[in-house]
Amino acid sequence: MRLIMESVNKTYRDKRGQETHVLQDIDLSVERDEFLAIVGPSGCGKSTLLGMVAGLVPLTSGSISFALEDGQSPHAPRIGVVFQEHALFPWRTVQRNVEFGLEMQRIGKRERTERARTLIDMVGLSGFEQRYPHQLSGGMRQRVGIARALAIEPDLLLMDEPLSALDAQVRQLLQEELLRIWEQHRQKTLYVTHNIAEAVAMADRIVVLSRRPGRIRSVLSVEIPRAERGLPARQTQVAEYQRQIWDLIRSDAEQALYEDVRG
Amino acid sequence: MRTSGDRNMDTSNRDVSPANRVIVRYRLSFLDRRAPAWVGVIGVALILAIWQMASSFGFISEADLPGPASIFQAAVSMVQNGSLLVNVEASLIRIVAGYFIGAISGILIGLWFGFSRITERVGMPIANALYPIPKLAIIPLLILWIGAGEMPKILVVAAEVFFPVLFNTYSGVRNTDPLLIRAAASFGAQPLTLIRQVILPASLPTIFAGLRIGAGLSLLVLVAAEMIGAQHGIGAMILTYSSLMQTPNLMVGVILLSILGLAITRGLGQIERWLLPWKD
Repeated sequence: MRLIMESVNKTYRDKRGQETHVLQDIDLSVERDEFLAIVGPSGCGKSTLLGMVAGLVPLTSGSISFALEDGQSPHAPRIGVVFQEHALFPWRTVQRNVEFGLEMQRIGKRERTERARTLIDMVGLSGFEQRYPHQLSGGMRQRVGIARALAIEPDLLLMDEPLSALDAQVRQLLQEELLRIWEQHRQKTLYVTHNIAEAVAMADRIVVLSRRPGRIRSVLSVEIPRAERGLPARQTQVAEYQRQIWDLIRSDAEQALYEDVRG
Repeated sequence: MRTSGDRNMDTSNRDVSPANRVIVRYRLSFLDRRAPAWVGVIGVALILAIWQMASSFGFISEADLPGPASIFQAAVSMVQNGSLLVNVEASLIRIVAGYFIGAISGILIGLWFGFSRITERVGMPIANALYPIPKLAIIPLLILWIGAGEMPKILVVAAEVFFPVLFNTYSGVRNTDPLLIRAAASFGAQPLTLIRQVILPASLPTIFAGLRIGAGLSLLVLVAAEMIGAQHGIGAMILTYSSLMQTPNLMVGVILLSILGLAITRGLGQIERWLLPWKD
């Protein structure tokens, strides 16, 4: 199922009746097998957009829909979300956290256990099934979050800055791992980040948002095969993409810096 | 790059003489509080021994503060003649019954306040107004309503436990991490599932904090209620021995209260560890 966003708008109204136009006329689609990154400065509404796709934030106007493929019977699209602060249920073990989405789909115990095991194995956490989140490191927690999202075999994978809460070294390792996992699943993915390097390393296409109101400033296709983006020979090209995106974001990011101080 | 010697260590400073160095010293040693475990046991034993000697040699009058030995003797005789059991039983029944009634109604109504905005709007002002009333003051009213006997004492314990449990349950529900609610909803959790699978477990630690506060208060109000009007019970027992000037027996009652309080706290802690294995 293709994800389609049509003239999506989001306006927040604060207590004084002051309106903030967070997102304006977002037209975007995510194709089959596509890894789409949304990059923008803080306050550009990228997380809001992702929340709207997940059905967790109401739209002010416009629509978000999934286009059925030929011969596909309509079903509620399954959406797997990976949150920045992992959002694991602290009272559930690793195993039961990964099973959560499957439980919501009323999948039987045996199949649940089996599918969760496979995913836990894939993210490299075999042997940790019975641990609670507080017994895991930040990087391990986020692996569980990724496994939980993938366990439901989502029609769309949403990732909201999944690596931002991690320290630099763990982030690098998990990014490589995320790509390895993604290559196995090739699931249509919407990835929100403020980290330009991350976006260039992972995405097929990168949507650059401006801020207040958040509008699509530019859409870039990264024309380097994903597997080659870490190679020394490709570094000039990678750096060129990063510079291009930074040029688009810079003035907005500076503005955000001062506005955030004022609150 | 060094090519010989310790490849992993920087040795270039080894020739600086001690005279040319200022040593960095650890500044926080005064905060490192260390004591071996046996110090506690020995210390307590020592204090008991001093107490016993003070009373054996007549420094403290037996009528004011009897020594540990006479308290122990009093306890033994009270166990033998059965008076201890009768009083402990009476107190235990009241506190257990009152605690359960108060805790369960506190949790249920707290949940209701937490989930329903209307109930919250109507109920909270009422709860806030009733909470500061010293619960002992309602005993006469309760007696008027349901007559003297066990029920007023049980209900006054229940009333004391009810409020902290109610407020904590309510705030536990209200303060559930919205991120967890979002996570559950993103996987398609329906409202009832969300309550059962997310909001309830997330509130449990706060509910338990309320249960612990309630436990302390329940003992307090139990003893006071028993002193106001009861034939049996630890509170009544202490009062009786006081008027009979039997200080060692009175002390047995006081120590019993300490043991009872400790047992309740420990018991709750155990249940909490068992129900909340996921808390760090």
